[in-house]
Amino acid sequence: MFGVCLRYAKDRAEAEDNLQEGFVKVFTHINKFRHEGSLEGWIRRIMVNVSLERYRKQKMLYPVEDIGKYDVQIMSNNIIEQITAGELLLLVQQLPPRYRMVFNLYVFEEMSHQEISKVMGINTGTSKSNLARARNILKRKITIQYGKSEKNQVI
Amino acid sequence: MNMKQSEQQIDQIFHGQLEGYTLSPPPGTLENIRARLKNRKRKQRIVLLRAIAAAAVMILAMVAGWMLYDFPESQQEMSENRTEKDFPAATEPVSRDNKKDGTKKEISGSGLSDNKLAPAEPFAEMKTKPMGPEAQHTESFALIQTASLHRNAEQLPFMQSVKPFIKSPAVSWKLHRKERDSSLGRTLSVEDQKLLAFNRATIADRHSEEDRWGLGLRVAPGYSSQNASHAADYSRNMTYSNTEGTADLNAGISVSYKASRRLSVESGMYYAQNGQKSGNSLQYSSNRYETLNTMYAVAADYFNTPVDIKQGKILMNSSAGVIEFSETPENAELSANLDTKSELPNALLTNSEFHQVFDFIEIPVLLRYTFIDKKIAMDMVGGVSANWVVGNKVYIGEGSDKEYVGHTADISDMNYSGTLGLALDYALGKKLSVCVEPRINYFLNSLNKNKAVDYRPYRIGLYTGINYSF
Repeated sequence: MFGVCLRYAKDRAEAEDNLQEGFVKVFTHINKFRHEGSLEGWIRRIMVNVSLERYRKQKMLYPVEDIGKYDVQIMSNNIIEQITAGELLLLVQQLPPRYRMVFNLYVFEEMSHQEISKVMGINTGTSKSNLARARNILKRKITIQYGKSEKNQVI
Repeated sequence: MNMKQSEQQIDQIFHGQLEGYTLSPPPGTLENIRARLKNRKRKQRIVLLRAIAAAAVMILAMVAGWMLYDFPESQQEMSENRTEKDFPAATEPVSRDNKKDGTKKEISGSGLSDNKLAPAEPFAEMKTKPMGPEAQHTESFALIQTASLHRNAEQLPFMQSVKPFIKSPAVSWKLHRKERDSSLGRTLSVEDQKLLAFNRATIADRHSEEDRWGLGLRVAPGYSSQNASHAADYSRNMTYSNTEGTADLNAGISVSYKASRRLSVESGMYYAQNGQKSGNSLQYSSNRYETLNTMYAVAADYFNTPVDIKQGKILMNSSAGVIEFSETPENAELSANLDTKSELPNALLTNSEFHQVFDFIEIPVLLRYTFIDKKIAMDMVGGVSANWVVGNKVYIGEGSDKEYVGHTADISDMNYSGTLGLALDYALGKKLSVCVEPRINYFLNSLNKNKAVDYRPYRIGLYTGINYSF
């Protein structure tokens, strides 16, 4: 669960706080667990919700990055193999908060844009654009930090 | 490779590497969780104690108010008793005369000639103290407002520097980050940074626990009446039950618990009142009334109600049940038969209406569904209430001329009623709201245990008050 919290947090301290808050909720509401799914899945949902709550509280403090249009870049396998999980985690943490949330919810929780728009209180268009921007930021940073990339045309 | 493949590639890289990524939490996490749990329990206990203390204070205030409300009435009863002792023979001549001729003696006394009904007893004027407009806002708005309150005029340029900073397109994430850091570092004074930190802490505290409990104060002016049916034998000698209800005032406290975002359970304690007026027995006009009217030209607007006299008690059938008189009403005449073979039954002649008043302590269990959850919220309310009868009095006359004469027999102590209402809440802030709530309350059982009487009061009230959530 600490790994989940780390992905949603901007740093380790925030992730630790979310983890503690999440487990306080788990122990407080354990009687509400209906045994319909796995306990792990239920706890994970709580951790995600705690992270979302924190994001909602803090969102006004962060300016939204307006990056504009991006090129589509395909990275070679050589680059990908170089990068460790810890480094990827750091890249996710460095994303602007809203992009980080959208990216996590889409990629790891496998939520649709409609679902993301509901839990985050944004519209589906914003969710789509945030995801695209998050991907491009990640790609760019990988490219800058880890070497060459192949550049393709937009289709 | 197209754009979609590119997107899938990046998703797969991160998903593949990070989905199963595990990392041990730092040492001390478990201890911190334990400490938080302990702290949370302590907070819950404090909240509960506060709620109990608040409820106790409100109940005390209500009881005190009730006692003050009852005080003049008690005084009046005392003065009535004194009047009776001072003039013990007030009704005796009537009885003596009736013994002789079995008919009614001419009604005397200035009270009878004055046939004007006093205006309905005014209920206490409801005063809702205007609350100061407390800002209802989003968190961001709160930040700006709080910040603007604390910030003096010299610090306003800070806002101007933030605006272009937010809107400026970033060339790269890194560059943007650098810009942001340096921009913030340059423009934010130490004081501003402290203020932002304070705001963050305030918001975090504000949302650390959801406000699930609610405490409310309600005052409810309303109108009460009844649905009644009676056995034929009973209704034959019954006072005429008119359809006119009475105005009254309920008040109490409510405690609610928000089970989910839209559904909450509510209870509380209310002082409630129901009453009815009873007038003349028109169906009796062919007997004594007609005789009296013909023989003695008694004014037609005098009520003459058949009564039963048993073991010194005067009993009268009313819509709500049998009224047991504890004393003969002032300015009323009793026309009693000593000859049991007489065709004319006993009758009580008055020119005032009877008021039967029932006081209840109502403990409701209500479900509240919020279907509009905005600054002005709208709820549907429904449920059942236990109504404990704490007052059962019968008066004759109204207002300052009201005279206590007895009680209604066979009233069941505990009764149940159903409630349905529609509430309109206006949020004055995060914790406070005012509400207006029209409710209808209908008794599910007959208030009277007498099998010949099915008496179900109902009340339409406008519950207004203030709610505090915590």
